[in-house]
Amino acid sequence: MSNVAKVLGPKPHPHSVWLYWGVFLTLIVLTILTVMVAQHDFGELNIVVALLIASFKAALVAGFFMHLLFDSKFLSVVLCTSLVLLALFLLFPILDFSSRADLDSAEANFLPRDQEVYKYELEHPDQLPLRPGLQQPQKDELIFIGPGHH
Amino acid sequence: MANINGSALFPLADHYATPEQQVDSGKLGMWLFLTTEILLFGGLFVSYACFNYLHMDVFKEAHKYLDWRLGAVNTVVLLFSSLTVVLAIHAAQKQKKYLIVINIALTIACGIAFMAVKYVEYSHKFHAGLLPGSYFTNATIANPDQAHIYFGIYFLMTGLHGFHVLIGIGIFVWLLLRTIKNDFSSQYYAPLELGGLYWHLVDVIWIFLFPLLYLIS
Repeated sequence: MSNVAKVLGPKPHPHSVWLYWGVFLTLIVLTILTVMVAQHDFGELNIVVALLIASFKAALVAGFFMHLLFDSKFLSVVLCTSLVLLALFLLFPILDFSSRADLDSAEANFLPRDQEVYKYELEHPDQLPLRPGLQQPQKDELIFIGPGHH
Repeated sequence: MANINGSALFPLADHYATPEQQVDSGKLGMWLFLTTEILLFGGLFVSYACFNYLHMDVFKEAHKYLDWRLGAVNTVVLLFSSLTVVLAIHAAQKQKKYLIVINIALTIACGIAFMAVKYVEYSHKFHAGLLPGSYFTNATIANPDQAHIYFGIYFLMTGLHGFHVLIGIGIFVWLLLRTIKNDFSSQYYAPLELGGLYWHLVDVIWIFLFPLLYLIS
C-alpha cells in the first residue's frame, strides 16, 4: 500500500442538472423513435436506421454522461482506438460473406474437375505431379528444420 | 481548509504529484478497461452480424418470440439509472450527501429492476424451450432446425450483459457504503466517476442490443 496524504482536491466544476435531464429526455425520445421506426419497413436500410439512432444515443451517453466532451481529448482517442479495431473486426467477415456468392459459383465450376484430378493422383502416385505448379520435391532437396530431425 | 472535515479531503497517494494527476490516471485506466470491454462485446456483435447475414429469415422469425415491450422497459430503466449516476456525481460536487445516497440507491434499484425483467424474459424462454443449441425444444417456431442459432446469440449477449449489470450493482452497493462512511465530498469523488463510467458503458451496450435483438424487421 502506498502512503496517502489528505490534501485539498481539485475544484469541481458541476454542470447544470438540467443539462443531464435534457440529455436523458432526448435519449427517451430517441428510444421511442427507435421503436416507431421499427414498425416501418425501409427494406435493406432497416438495420442501418436502427444502428444510426443507437449510435447517436451512444454518442450522447459518452459525450455528456461519460463526460468525454469536457475531459481530456486523449480519452476520446482511447475510445476511438477500440472503435477502429471493432470496425476492422466487423469489416473482414462482412467482406468475406458478401463476396461468397462469386466464390461459390467459381468453386462450382472448379471443384468437380479438381476432385477428379485429386482422385487420379491418389491412385497413381508415380505419375505426380499432374497439376501445373505442383512440383514433387527431390529427395536430396528436403531440408528438415527443428528438433528431432537430422 | 479549516472548515472542511478531514475525512472528506482528497486522499493523495504518494506516487502522484497532484490530485488532478491521480484523477486523470484513474480515468485513463478506466477508459482502457472500457476499450477491452468494447472488444469483448465486439466479438459477440461480429458473430451476430455474421449469423444474421447467413440466416436472415431465421433471425426475423425468432425475434418475434421476444417481447419488445419488456426490452423497451429495460432500455428506459437503464437510461434512467445512467441519469441517476450523473446526478449522484453532481450531488457529490455540490457536497450534498443525502442526494448522493438517494441517487446511488435509485441506480441500484434500477439495476435490480433490470435483472427482474430479465428473469421474467429468461423464465419464459426456458419454459418455451427457446434455448441455445441442442437444448432447443420449441416446436411451434417456423424453422426449428436453425432457430437455436438466434437463441444461442441472444443468451450469450444478454447473459454477458446481465452479468455486467450484476457486477455494476455490486460496485454501486460498495459506493453506497463508502458514501455513508463519508468517504466522498466535493473534494474527492473519483470512485463515483469511475463506477459511473462502467455503468454508462453497460447502458451503451444495451442501447445497441435492444434494436438488434428485439426490433429486427
